[in-house]
Amino acid sequence: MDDKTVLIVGGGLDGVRTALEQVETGAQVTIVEKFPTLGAERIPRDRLIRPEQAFINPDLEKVRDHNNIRILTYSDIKKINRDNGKLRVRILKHSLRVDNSKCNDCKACIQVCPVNMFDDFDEGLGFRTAVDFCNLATGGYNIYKEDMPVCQETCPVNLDIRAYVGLIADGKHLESLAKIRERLPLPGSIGRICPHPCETACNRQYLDEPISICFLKRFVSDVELSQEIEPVYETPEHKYPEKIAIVGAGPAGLTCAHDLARLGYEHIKIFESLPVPGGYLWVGIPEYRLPKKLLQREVDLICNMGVEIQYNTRIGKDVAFENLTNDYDALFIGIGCHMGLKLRVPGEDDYEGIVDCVTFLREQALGNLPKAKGKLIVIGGGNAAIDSARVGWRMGFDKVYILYRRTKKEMPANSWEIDAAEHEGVILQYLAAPVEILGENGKVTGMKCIKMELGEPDDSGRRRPVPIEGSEYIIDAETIVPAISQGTDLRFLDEGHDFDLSRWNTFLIDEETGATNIPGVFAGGDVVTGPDIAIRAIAGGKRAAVGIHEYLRSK
Amino acid sequence: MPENNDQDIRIGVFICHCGSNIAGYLDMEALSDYAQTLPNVTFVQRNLYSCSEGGINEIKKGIKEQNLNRVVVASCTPRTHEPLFRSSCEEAGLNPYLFEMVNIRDQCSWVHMREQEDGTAKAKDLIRMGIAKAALLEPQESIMSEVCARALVIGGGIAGMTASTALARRGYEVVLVEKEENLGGMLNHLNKLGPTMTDAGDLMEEKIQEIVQHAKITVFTQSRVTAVQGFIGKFEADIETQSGVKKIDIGVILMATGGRAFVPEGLYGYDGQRVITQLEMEQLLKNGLNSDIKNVVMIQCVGSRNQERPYCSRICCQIAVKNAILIKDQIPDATISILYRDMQMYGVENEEMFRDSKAKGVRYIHYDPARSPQTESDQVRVYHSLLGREMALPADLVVLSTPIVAPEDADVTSQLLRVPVDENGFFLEGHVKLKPLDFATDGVFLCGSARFPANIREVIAQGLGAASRASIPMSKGSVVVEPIISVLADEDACRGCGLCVALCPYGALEIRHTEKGRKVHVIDVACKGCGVCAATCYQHALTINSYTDQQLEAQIDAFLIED
Amino acid sequence: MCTGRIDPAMVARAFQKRLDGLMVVGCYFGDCHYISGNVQAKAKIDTTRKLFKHIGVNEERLAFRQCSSGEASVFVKLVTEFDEKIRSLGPLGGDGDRVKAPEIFGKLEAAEAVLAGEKIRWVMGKRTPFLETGNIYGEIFTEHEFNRAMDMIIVEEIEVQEILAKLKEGARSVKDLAGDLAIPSERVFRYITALKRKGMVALDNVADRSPIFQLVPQEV
Repeated sequence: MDDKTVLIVGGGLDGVRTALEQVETGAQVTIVEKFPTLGAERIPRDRLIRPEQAFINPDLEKVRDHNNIRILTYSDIKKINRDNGKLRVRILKHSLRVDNSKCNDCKACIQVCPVNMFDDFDEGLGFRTAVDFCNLATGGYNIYKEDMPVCQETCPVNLDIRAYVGLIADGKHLESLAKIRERLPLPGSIGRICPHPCETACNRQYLDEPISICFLKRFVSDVELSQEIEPVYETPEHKYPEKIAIVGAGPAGLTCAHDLARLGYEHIKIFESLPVPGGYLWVGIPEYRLPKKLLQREVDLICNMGVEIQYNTRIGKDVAFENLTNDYDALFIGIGCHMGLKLRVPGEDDYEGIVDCVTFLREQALGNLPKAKGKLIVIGGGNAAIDSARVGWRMGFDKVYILYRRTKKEMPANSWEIDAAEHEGVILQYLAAPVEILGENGKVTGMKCIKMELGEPDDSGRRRPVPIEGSEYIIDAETIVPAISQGTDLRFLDEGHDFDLSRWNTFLIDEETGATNIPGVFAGGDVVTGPDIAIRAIAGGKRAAVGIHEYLRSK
Repeated sequence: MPENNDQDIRIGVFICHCGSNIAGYLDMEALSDYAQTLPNVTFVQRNLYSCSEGGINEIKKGIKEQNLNRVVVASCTPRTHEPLFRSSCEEAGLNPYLFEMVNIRDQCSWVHMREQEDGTAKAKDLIRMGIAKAALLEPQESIMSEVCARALVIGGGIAGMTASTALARRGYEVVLVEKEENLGGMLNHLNKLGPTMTDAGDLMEEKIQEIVQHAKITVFTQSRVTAVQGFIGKFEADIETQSGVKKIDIGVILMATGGRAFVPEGLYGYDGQRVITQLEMEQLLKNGLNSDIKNVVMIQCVGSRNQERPYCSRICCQIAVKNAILIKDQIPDATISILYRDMQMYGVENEEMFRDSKAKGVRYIHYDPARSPQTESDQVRVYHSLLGREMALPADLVVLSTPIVAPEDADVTSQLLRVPVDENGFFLEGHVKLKPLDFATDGVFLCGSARFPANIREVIAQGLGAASRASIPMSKGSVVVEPIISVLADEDACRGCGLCVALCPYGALEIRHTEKGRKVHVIDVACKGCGVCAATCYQHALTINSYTDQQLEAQIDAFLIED
Repeated sequence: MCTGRIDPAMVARAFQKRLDGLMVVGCYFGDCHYISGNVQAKAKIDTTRKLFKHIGVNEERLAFRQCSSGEASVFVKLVTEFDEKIRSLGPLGGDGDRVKAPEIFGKLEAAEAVLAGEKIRWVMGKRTPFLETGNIYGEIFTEHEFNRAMDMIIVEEIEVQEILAKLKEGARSVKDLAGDLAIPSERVFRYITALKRKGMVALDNVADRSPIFQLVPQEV
């Protein structure tokens, strides 16, 4: 068995012994130890044992010198996959922050170290300092350095939340805004609409409640507005000559353009099918959540960097896709998910009055909808459903219903949005699903629904709704807006295109660079992730900007 | 510890009457009797004026006859008199740094004129503290350093050009750095210079010609100084020029970065067409005025002497009066009204110009900043505070007198040269009266509107003055620096961590690799002795000569003795 | 010399020697003849004030004020106000302070040791670099964060210095130390484990199942 490989997790007494046993059988052994040295803390001079009583395991030397044993200290196991009868293990090896070859064990560093932290060895009974040794006999000084705070780690664009919130606490509002803009060009917009996964992660919630990370962004950008400061997004003096095309002026495309302009690209053109910028931010998020004026201002700041937006231009119709790949050095696709999915119930295609939520919100935002009349039913439980219902309520429908097949607890929309909708007078019907669309003379008259109950949990962990037989009922309505999900609209691609796509019709990209399988074409945002939150689309745009820069510079 | 500890400490205390300045308010006899009782004091003498020739001779005599090895003078402020007493000690053969001064005039007799007893008690405290410190003083040697005979002049306006030519004429090499394409600075935009009505262009051309032709002057236009290292005599400057960055060794630096005219965006309907600034007026006058202009209104103090810019820009009044006269010269029947808060017309010639303008019919109307004038499409409404009513003045042209403000990059320059700016962003000289053209940083000088708004005449005088100041170290060839500086008193304790290096405001500390490992090194000539490093060092390895921990603690202890 | 020369340890020492009040008057920020010495002075005095407050000395006894050499009236006002304040507080360790004499002088001795010690001086010295240019990883600290860290360090350092001062008198158990110093025993234990790790404290013997700790003499 000469190809036998063994991984031993833990380099303590047992780990070392097992490694030696295994290597005797002829295996290739790898020891993974989370501390910087092997042998763990078995020889602690500072415990109740006296120095002269300390002993050193002679096996340690054997393990170190053995040719068939690989030692990975200060390493963590990140992921274990089964792969055809074998295990593939992903190990992260950290680098030490102390050069132990130069260390003479004088302890001066730990005497002055200002950071007292609970000792991870004795489960926090005692203190240790951030710089510390791991094992006296074998040395191994290291500095424990905290990684990003959880909020920053959770944020898709890794905003330096710690710093900008702290700057606000210091009263340095504009500095805080500048800090945010280092990574996020749309602070005012995102500060209003972001569902803030960072706050969900915030450690403060265990004490009282999370820091209002999201609204603090809005606050500092409002400070700038109220002080009537006109900011300028700087671009470097050194410019690059390459031409870059971006499809879609949504959050992903705008951010990509911004980041590229800031890197020094001056020929950036965004093609936008709508007459307005912002993508879903403009035509999906209602005015009451994000004033268009404010969004326009932030878009203008990006345009002032030399980014050009060509509106009313649909790729595949007004401009051929090949033209883009031919005329430009790099291309970013950030067209989002602007196709509402169908309910797939009888009658759906037979009557006038059914309009998917994407179209409904878009046309309302662009001012194209006729006057509201009668009753409105929105089907779905996401933010888009709530937005549609609240917009409908504002448009003047007599009654607005939201139909959701699970309960309020399972609803994916933000709880404060649901509460607001209820408060405004939207009628929420939980545990109900559409069965059939009813109509007369080609127009919708109502919908047949069925009551549901919750059964066993499904793959997503949510309890699966099961129809209750014989519980059908009818709601009268003139307009029905399905808001169940959205998909990508890739009709601009040729029939025989070579792009790698997922089964949801989204682009498959390189995780690091945002590159598609076609060289020079990058993608990001909802067109990659499926319908998702704006800040994640922005992260996609940022990633692609770096990818495009690397691609163009290495050409 | 120094060898002085082996011999007896013999302190002589000289208490000055300062005529009646001190003696008139404190009980001098009590002071000298008290001083006698203090440790290590072997000689006490009172003088009418310690700083007079007689007083100085008494100190010298005391040192020689009484074999004193420390001298304490209790008199006035060390700011003015310490150098004198120090040199007296030196002349008598005593190291000048074995001298300590106690200020019993400013701090006792002057502020406690009416409380003789308390004032005297306080003087006793101060004398006791001074004596306690004096006992621990150690001799210091002055520090000499060579000076590179090349000057860097930053700014090619009239101040910088004047200083450059003055220095070059004395035979020193000059490097002149100007950020714009052309030399001349503000002169490029001016018409005639009051009160002599000299042509600005002619003056500028003359200066530029001299500079361009002078072999000793190197000019870099469209360039900036991006980094300055070193200290007086041995600066190294990085100059970013059109053809790359040049590193040049420099002995002294002259700051002549000037100011800029404030643009009154949003004030009085400023549009650069009908409502313009005095600077734009200069250009109009240069080109010749349109003869349609019949009514001109000038408004003074636009954007200055307010909350945001509380200072008076000083020269705008002269400019307004001068331009009013020039308008009258071109269009004799024009009506010119100057709306002012106070007229700042210092100097005989300016006064004359002011009278002249009145004789030519220029009208002066006082306005109240609380009811400031309103510009309308064809007139200016102003509340005449003397007549007590509102007037409407027809106006074809409204000219706003805006202040000179500090250049936008003053803070950058300030950090670059480690020199301070004041709250308005102008550079702050070393001392208003004693060092008006020097910075506190040795070897860096300033002139022109970089300090405060100045007219051409003043700027030229300052340029010449700064050049003269700057040439002193260069002509000497070396500088003597006061040894009251930071010293690495305990080399073994120093861990070479660099904490002090990061905090030193003067870049006077650096880490060097020595046989004993990384150790801090004090660049004597660059150190100003502020003491931040000594107060910060966690190893207590650094200290300040004549202000060591022991000396300061001795003073504190002396103060806290219960009497 | 500049206010930046004022060594906080010297300040604590002066109070320990019965000083009742100290006002440090520096230039205005941006107006400092030593460029930034006053900023350092303010930071050091602020920290010392926090420490004073923690150990029971009324922090009003220590003040940092600013005025320019041209502002005689401002100076007079500052001095008069401070004089009145100190008079109203009375002598150190009296009614004006949370901790009374003579206990307060022992506390001030610990404070002097803290302020002369490596840790707090190091952190104070790093304040400007941390706030302005950031640490070696480029992470800039906000004043808020820095102050919070400083608050923690002050508490820990004072307690550690008090423990060391007690151990100087003789070896003691955690329980004894906790009783003598009125610090919760689990905190004392943590400090002791940290001090052991630093090689500053060692086990002396075990008496009645209680470990007794002693001071390890430090090389200078």
